[in-house]
This record gives sequence, C-alpha cells and structure tokens, in this order.
Amino acid sequence: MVTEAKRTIEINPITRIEGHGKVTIQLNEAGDVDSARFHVTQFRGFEKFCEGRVFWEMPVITPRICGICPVSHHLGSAKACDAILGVNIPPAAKMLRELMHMGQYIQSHAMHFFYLASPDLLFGFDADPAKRNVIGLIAENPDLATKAVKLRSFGQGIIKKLAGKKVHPNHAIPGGVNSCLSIADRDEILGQIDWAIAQAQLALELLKGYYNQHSIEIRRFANFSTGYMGMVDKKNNLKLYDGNLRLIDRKGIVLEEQFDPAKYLDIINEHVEDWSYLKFPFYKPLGYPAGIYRTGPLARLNVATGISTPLANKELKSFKKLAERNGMVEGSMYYHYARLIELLYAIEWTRELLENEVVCSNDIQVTSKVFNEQGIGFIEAPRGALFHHYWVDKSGKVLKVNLIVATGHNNFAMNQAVYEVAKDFIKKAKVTEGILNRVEAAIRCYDPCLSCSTHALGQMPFSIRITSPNGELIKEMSQ
Amino acid sequence: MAKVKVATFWLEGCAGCHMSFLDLDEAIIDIAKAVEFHRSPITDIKEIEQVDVGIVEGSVGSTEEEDVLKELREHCKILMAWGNCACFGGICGMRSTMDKEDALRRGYIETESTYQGKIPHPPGVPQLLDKVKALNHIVKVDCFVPGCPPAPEAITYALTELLAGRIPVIPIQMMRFD
Amino acid sequence: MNGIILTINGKQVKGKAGSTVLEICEANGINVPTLCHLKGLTDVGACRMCLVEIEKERRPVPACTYPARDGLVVQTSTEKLEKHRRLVLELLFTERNHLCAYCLASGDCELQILGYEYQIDSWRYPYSWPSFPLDSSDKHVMIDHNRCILCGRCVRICSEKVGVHTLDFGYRGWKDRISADLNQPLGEASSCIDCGACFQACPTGAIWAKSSAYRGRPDQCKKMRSVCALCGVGCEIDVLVKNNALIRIDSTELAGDRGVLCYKGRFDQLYESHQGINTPLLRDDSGKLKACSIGNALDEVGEKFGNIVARYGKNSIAGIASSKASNESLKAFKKFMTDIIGNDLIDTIDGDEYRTIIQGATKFRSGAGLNIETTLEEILKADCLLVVGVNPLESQQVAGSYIFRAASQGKANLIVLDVDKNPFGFHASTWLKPTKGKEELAINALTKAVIGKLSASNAVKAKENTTSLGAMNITQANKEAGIDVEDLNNAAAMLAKSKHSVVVYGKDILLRKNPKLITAILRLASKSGKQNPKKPRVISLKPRGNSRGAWNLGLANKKEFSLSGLTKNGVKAVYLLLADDYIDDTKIIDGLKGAKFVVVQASYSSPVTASANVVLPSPTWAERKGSYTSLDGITKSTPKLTQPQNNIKRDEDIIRGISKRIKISDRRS
Repeated sequence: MVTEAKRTIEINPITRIEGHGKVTIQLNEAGDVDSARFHVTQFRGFEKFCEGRVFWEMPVITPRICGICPVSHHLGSAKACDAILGVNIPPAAKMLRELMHMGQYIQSHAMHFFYLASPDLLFGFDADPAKRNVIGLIAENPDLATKAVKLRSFGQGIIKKLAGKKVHPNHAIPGGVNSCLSIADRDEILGQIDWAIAQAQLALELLKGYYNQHSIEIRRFANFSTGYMGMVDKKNNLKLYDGNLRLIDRKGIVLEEQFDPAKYLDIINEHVEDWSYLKFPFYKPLGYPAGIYRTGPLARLNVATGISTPLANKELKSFKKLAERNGMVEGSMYYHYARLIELLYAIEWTRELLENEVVCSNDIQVTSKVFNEQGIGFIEAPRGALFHHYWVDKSGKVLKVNLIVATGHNNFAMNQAVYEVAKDFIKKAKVTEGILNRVEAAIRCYDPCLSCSTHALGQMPFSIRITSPNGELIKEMSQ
Repeated sequence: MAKVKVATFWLEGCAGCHMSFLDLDEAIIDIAKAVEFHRSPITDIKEIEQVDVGIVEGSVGSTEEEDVLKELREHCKILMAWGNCACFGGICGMRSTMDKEDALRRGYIETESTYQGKIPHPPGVPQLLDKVKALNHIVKVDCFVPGCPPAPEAITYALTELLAGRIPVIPIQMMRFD
Repeated sequence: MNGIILTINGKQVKGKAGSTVLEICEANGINVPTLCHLKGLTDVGACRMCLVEIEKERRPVPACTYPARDGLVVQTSTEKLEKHRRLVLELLFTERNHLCAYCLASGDCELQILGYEYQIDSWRYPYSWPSFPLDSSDKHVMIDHNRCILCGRCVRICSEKVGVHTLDFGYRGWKDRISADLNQPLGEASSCIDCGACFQACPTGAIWAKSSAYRGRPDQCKKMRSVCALCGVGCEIDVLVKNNALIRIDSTELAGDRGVLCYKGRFDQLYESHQGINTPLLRDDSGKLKACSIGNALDEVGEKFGNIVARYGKNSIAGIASSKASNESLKAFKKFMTDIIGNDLIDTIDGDEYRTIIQGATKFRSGAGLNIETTLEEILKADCLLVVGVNPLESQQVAGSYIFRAASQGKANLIVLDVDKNPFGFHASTWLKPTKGKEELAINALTKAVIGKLSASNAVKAKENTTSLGAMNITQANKEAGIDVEDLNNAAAMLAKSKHSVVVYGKDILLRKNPKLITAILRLASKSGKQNPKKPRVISLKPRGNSRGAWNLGLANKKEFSLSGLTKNGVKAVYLLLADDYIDDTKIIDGLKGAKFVVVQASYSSPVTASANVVLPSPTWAERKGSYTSLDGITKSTPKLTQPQNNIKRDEDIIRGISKRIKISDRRS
C-alpha cells in the first residue's frame, strides 16, 4: 500500500488478457484518481512490412498478428483478397469459412470465460493472486476445468479439421478455401453439438448465479455510455462472417443502418495518443472523442435486434432486459454475458451449417487472373469489428495495407472503464491488490486481444506506476 | 516430489505459442500437477521470481522486452525459446528488413484511417529496437522449440524432457518451421 | 565405357568411368544431401551440401563435381562433414529472410527439409535481414529474392534445357541475385517464354507460381501421370489434384530431354478458361436454351436424327469433330456416322490442313502419308534446322524450346523462312523473308541453291527427279520472292553441309491450303545433306492437340468438305463433337445457319453451342480417361484426373445413348 499524495499507479503487465499493456493511474493531491490510461506497449509494423509482398500471402501472414483469433485475420484477409479478385466464392467455400469462424468463436469465447475471466468470478477479486487463475481452477474444480478444456478443444478441433492445425490456419485462399470437409468429419462435429450446447448453458448458469449474487456491483461496474457498432444481416440479426454495419449512438439513436463496410473510411477514423501503440477509432462524422463507440459481444448484441438460432435468441431477450434508458446494455461486466450468448449462437450455427449438405461439396475455389486495385475485408472477430484493406498493383503486389483491429475500437472504452473503476475504488490514495485486480478486470471484460492491437501496436503487461503530477516516479508497484 | 517452478513469458509475438500450449487440452491438467506456474500470461503474478524453467514466446523488439528477458535469464536455471519468433526472430523480424521510423510513420501517420496522427514514444510506450532479435542473440538460451506455433506434441515433448531433468532437443519428426 | 571400383563409406561400389562421385553415390543408394544439384543439369558445386572426404584430398570436396576414379576412397558422412553441412545450412538460413511460417513452399522445400534433418532450431550467426524485392511482374511466376539460396538451378534449366537463357546471376557479393535479361522485371523480360521450368527447378519458395499459391502442398495432393493434350507435342506431365481440382502441373522429368513444358500446359490449364457446360441444354419453344435431363436430350436427338434420315435419306446428316477430342471420343463419333447414320459426310475442324499435307506428300512420293514425317526427338539431334511458316513459340512452344536448345548450344544452325512478322526469325542465324504468296518460289529457289552447293557426286543424284527446277533462274526467282541472294546462299550452304538437318513447318504454310508448298518443302528437305530421299526429316506442327490422332482414325475427310456447301445440297442436320475445344470460327457458325437441326457436344459455352438446337455436355481432358496421339504419332494415355460436375458421361457413352434411341427404318436406303 502506498500513501504518498499526487502519484501515478502503474499496473504492468496486465495479466490474463491476450496481449501486453500497462495501466497508469494518475492521482491528484487528495489521493483521488485524476486520470487513468491504458497503454499498449508493443509495435510490430504489419502495415509496413506487408508492403511489397503479394496478396496471396496476406491470409497466411496476417494470422500471425494474433495467435488467439488467427482465424479472424485469416478470413478477414481472405475476404479482402476475394474483393481484389472480384469474385463471389462458391457457397460451400463460404460455409466452410464460416464454420471455421464458428470454431474460433467457440474456442475463443470459451477460453476467455473459463481460463481468463472465471477465476475472478469463482474466487472473487480479492482472492490470493497465486490461486486466482486457471491452474487454481483446475485444483479447485477439476470437473469444471475439464469441461472448459474440452469445450475449447471442440472449437479448436473444428479449425484443425479444416486447416490441418489449430493455430495459424492455412485454409482460406483468395477465391475460396483449399480443402473440403469430409462426411466423417462433419458427422464427428455434429455428434458433439448437443454436448457443447450443454456446456455453454452451464457457463451461462454459472455467470447468471454470479450476477444474481453481485447484481448491484455488476451493474455499476464500469458502466458508461458510448456508441455501439456491429455486423448484422439484412434483418438486423446478429451476423459474424458476412453482413453490413449497424451503428447506434450513446443515446440509442441509429447512426448507420445497413452500412456497406467497404466504405468504412467514410465513417471510421483513428485517433493517436503518443503514450499508446494502440490507436483510438471513432465515428468520423462526430469526431473524437464524441464519436467513440464500442465493439465486440456487448456491442453486437446491442445493435442486433435478434439472433437466427432459437436458444441464443431466447437468451438475447433476457439480455435486452438489462438495458439502460437508452435501450443499450452498458455495464462492462455484461460483456461476459453477451460473450456466452454468442458462444451458444456459434454452437447452434455450427449445427445449421453442417446440416446443409452443400457444406461437403468439393466446389470450393474460383480463380481469376485480373485484379482490382483494392480489396476490403470486414469480419466480426470475437473481440469486435476487424477491417483488412489492401491496395495492389496489376501483378498482385501489395502496395499499401490498412488494418483496424477489433480491440482498437474498444481502446477508448477500456481507458474509460479503467478510469471509472479506479475512481470508484481508489480513494485517498488507498490502493489494495484487489482494487488493482478490479482495474484489470475492467479491461478483461473487453477481452482485449492486444497481440491484435499490436499488429501495429503492442503488448500488454500490467503493473502500477505511481508518479507525481510532474511525472516524477514516486513508487512502482507490481500488485 | 517438489513441483518444478515454471514462468512463461510473452515478448514480441502473437500468443500463438501459448495457445498451442493450451491445445495440450487435458494434458495441461496433468502438467499442472507437476508444475508450479509463476509469472505467466495465465496467472496474476507480476514479479519475476526465481524459477527452474523460464519459457519465452516472442522475439525482442523493444528495450523493455530486452530488460525483461535479461531479468528472466538471471532468475531461471533453464531458458527455453518457444516458437519461431523466439528461436529465429520470426514474422516479427520482418520489421527488421525496413527502417523502424518508416514502419511507425505508416502505422500512426500515413494509414488511411488515421486522423491527425503522431508517433507514440517513451515514456508512455517503450523504445523500439532498430532490429528485432531472437532470444539467443541477447542471452544464453538452453533449448529451442521452433514452429509457428510449435505443435502441441513438440511442447509436450520439451516439457516432459525438462521434467525428467534433461535438456530437450526437438526430434526430427517434430521439427516444424511453419 | 569402363567400369571402375570405389570404396565409399568402407564398402566397395561399382560405377561407370566419367561419372561424378555423387552420381555413383546416387546409383548405389548412398544418400548425400544436395541443394544445387538437379539431375540432368550441369553440376556447379555451389551449395557445398554434398561435401565428401576423399583420401589424399586435403579438404572436403563437393561430390557433384568431383570426377570418380578407380580406387577412390570416399567418406560421405563423418562428424566433420556433418558439422560443415550444418554450418552451410545456418549460413544459408541467416543470409536472407527465410520465414517458413507463411511461405507458399513450406512443406515442399528442400532447404526446410534439410533444416529439419539437421535440427536447425536456432541460428548462431547474426541475421542480415536484407531487404530484397519480390518480383511479381510476371503473369505466372513470382521471384522472391528473399528466399533465394543462389543455387542456380533456375539459371541452368533456363539455358540448358529451355534454351532461352533469360535468367542469370546479377550484381555481386551480398547483393548477388537472380536477374532476368538485362535486369528486367521478369514480366518484362522479352526472352522469357513463361514455361515455368524455373519454378519447378527451385528448391525453395524463391520462385513460385501464382496459380498454385496455397492451394495445396504436394503431400496433400494426389499425383497422377498424364499427358498434356493441348498442342500435340505430347508432353508427359504429373498432375497434382486436390478437392477434385488441378492444383499444379509438373514435368515428369524436368531436366530430361523432353522435360520442358510451356505456360499453356503448366499454368493455363489450372484456370477455368471459358464458361463450362455442366448439363444438357434443349432449345425450347421460345427459342432459348434450357437445361434438361440427359435422357430428354438424348431422346430429342435420337428422334430428330431418325426423322431426318427417314425423310431426307442418310446423306442428310453431317458430322464434324474437333481434333482436340480424345481418340476414344473420335472413334465412337466416326463409328456413329458410318455405321448408324451410314454416310461419310464427316470431317474434322482442321480437315483442310490434313488434306493439304496429304496431297502434298502424295505428290512428293506416291503412297506417302503422315508416316513420312519424323519425330520431335530429331530436332534435338539436328545440326541444321529450317523453320518454315510458323512461330513455334506460339503454336507448340515446347517444340520451339527444342529448336532453341539445339541452336543455342552451338550445335545447330537455325534458318527461318517466313514473312517479316514472325518474331521467331530474330533467333535465326539466317532469316529468309519471302514476299507473301511467294513462299513456294522461295522454297524452290532455296532447293536449287542447295543442289548447287552439294558435292559433285551428291549433286548428280540430287538432280535426278528435279527437272521441274531445272529451268529456274535463281536470281530472277529471288527478285520475285524478295529474298536476299546472300542470305539464300548462306542458308543453302548450311543445309548442303549439314549431316542431320530437320525441317519444321506449320500454321502459316497450312493456312495457304496449297499442297504444292508441302511438296516443295519435302523436296527441299530431301536434297539437304545426308537425308533419306524417301523419308526426309520433316515435321509439320499440326493445328490441334490430337490432330494426328483424329487424322490417323480417318476422321478428316479425304475430299473437300464445306459445311455451307453441304447444307445447300441436302444436309439438314449437323452433329458437332467439340469436346473441350472452344470454337468461334465464323465459317462454321455461318455454315450451321443452313441446317435445320444442330447438335453440339461440348465442354464449354461458345458461339457454336449458342447456335445449337441441342447441347450435350462433354467432359474435359482432365475429366476423362483417354488417349491422345502426338503430332509425331506417339499415342499416350491419361487417367481421369477429376470427377466432372453432375457426373457428365463420356462422349462415347453419350454417342451410344443416341445410337440406341435412333430409329432408322431402312439403313440401306
């Protein structure tokens, strides 16, 4: 505990999130929170070093932006490449890409909930940090841990069946995919669906039980208004692979309806701060910071009016009941709820894809020798909207690359969440480990994938740094 | 038997190696019985404590990462490089083929969606190295598990060897660079 | 050659004198790692992977360039050698940017395999992280210098086997890299013929094909031996198939004598060229072609053909086949026309070319047929080549490559006789450019000049049977044909002096439809040095992939065959078997206008299928088992490589289906 007045608290590294970052909290002279910043501390430069490569390589290079959601980059990139070829891929190819995407949603959402978030929920924010992790979960509740491992493995298994490996797939290619799904593999996945749905429902029960016990704290926890952006189908149902954008502002008014993502540059700009390698996207017509919005599970379920699968749609209805007066569900802790609803949807949608016989067709590629000058790929990654935009010459060489990654859209929100929580829990310079963990938990709600953010940006460790208002380091704390 | 103390680190990389570790699935539960995890992206321990094995994913691209790696080296008996970035520099190394400033300029100023950009700099963010480096070009590394990411079998093999008190050398059939 | 005996790794092995140590190791199943060696090319010892220790040699030496001698004592795998090899690999890996993670050659890379074998899990040396360009300017092949190990296999295949020598080394030292022409982007290198041999020769991912990028590694594909049926050269190919699609086409023995392929055979077949026909189509009452079942389509054809024959007689149906179809399809088609319909109103689309060749040959020597021609292999043995009226690089690129190879390696003189616009002339040592329409005169003048240069005894023999040339005044003829006298004399001297001359002619000559030109060419060839006067070494480059097969099977009519003429004179129905040929020839389309009922059997939509009453589907070359006869008469077969969509039946099955349905009451009428 530190009692000096006027200081900055730094959490470094932030743990149990997917990436590297740190938090600094600036205290005022009374020892209350003055400002809070979430820094992303790594830069890798994908936008630059992809220049001069050829577009065929992009779906294989860009997954390396992130080992957690490589499939999103793989598919987002492939979609941009389809646009360069100017082709519509065969129905089976689209279904197989979507299937792989669902595999990733299952693994990513399951991993986040069980491996990263659930220790807080099961052990409490104030538990011993040595125990408050997935290994602690294994020791405490091996049955639940086994189920968690298996559910994640089910999702990864779908990816492996299509791509031959679980991390950094090589399946989608410009114009389609490079392998089909065997009937045996299809049946094997189908055979596990009911079990997987039961696990998702178990997780939902667990989460709802926790919400019931802590309803006041949950609702209050990092609850603030922003805009929301997500992908929807023509009927404004939730969509994750292919669809249009829907944007709603902080008052609940629809800003963009069925917006063509290929025109994203008209509505999205990115702001830069010199203290973070992660940029801050905002809705261009409103400017920064008025135009900030959130993406990811909470945002997608806020902008969607329905879900095409029955069980998830039923959950969506109870989710919508948590809405504030603007009609939006705003508390950061509800990201977990939204995430589990999407998990359920992903499993249900996997079944629907597999029950369509086209999924096993071997008509999975189209080719073209002529290339458009640009291609834009938009996809909903587990953590939010992902844009890949390439410019190529007539030989297929990449001239320029622009990427807006999922976590970036939530950058401002994460900063806001950190500030809200810090403000609530740090008074008169009184800082406890549990409070710091709550700050981390606020970030963890967004499941930030900082490896993604650090395509241009960096990695996310968490420690607290305390400095005086003039920037002088008074004390550095690692919890 | 005392548990083997392990710390896992993630420097300049994508988390793919850690994901491949999670892909051991149920085997993790067995490993957890023989291993005590210290600082790791999956725990909340932030300090670098004395451990038996330090495992590092990712290459070294900033002064901060360089410091962390050196500190880990001092605190572990065996240092293992995990994945292509740690072993060779990997995809992160592609930045080394160009000027660092050009890459930053593209990322934070020239990109089409960036509005009134500026280049982030210390102290808010760490200083970038001019060239991205593999671990063994900064500290002594005892063993290497290449792959992007390494296959779960290779990770299991390496951990099993370490638990048996041997320094692993990945056998030919498990070697993988992609 | 004498046998020699060496001791390799303590064992006595036999070998042939004149071999290298590496060749003897390979022949005896002793594994020595290599990178720059490619069997069939000159070895250069660039990579140093094949270092071996030889008793009494002070240093390890590369096995690929070390001549084997009787009594040599060789060690191929000592601790010292393995250490050297590991060092070589680490240096190769650190010199450029070898990032297997996203490389399209990963899983199919010789450097990677050696990296695994030597367990290269880290690199001791500082990385250079150079910034080399990726050259993607070419339509088919990209060169990523970042992955190049400078083994030079591409450079050697390009000059030694393809014969164009586009690729070579450029720059020096660290900057050394593969360069096309005078450091042009490959897509702009005018000497490059896009054959893709460099891609197949490259041991890493430095040279790769856009058409195969990330579509499947060789180990995920089924590899099938086949024959390319595009142009009649008859190249043997290995086709890699995955998910029922052609992923990649390789030469079966790249550095072998006939290992070169062309861009059409290697790359173009991987792209869908035209809109495919996957279902039978029937013209409905509104005049539109609509999809229907194969049964309905066959019923319609059977009924209409039957009615037409019943009403107008057996000579009211004509058949035309494309010589791109397989021998099996063509045989069935011919049988249908002669046995079921009962006439000989049948021809191939290239029937005119057939008649020109045959009439010309008969005039040269009665009874001579297609068999008078020689084989493509003779080009490789030639010391003098005369190319008449064809640019082989356009029509039969691989044949062009054989000509280049024979000429570029300094063995053969190349003479081209064609009009100005044939760019093949630029490669010739002598280029004779006759005025258009005066080719025959030019050829005869050359023949006369050749006779004039022959040694006295040969000349006497040659003068026999050439009385028709006797009256010719060369100077006068030259003026008329517009040929330079000095060029003519040079060319004549080369031909007269030669011991193994070969004459190749093609498209432009055949288009003249003048059999006298063929006779003149045969006569010229027969007068050149050391030729068999009855069977001179002449090859015609034929229009289509299976022209020789179709002609051998008697599909081409011996008599003049004009579609519009026939429809004016009683032919009411036309049956076209196009197979996977795409035809937009206005002569055929116009000819069809006079017919009441047109049936087209084709793989692709074309202006011809658009004018049909019934369109029957036809599997492509890849979708059927079949045999094809090369332009020099060698028949090879290919298995079914992919399953056709909707399980389209083979041409012969469809034809059998029509035969069964057709009801011709009196076939003798």
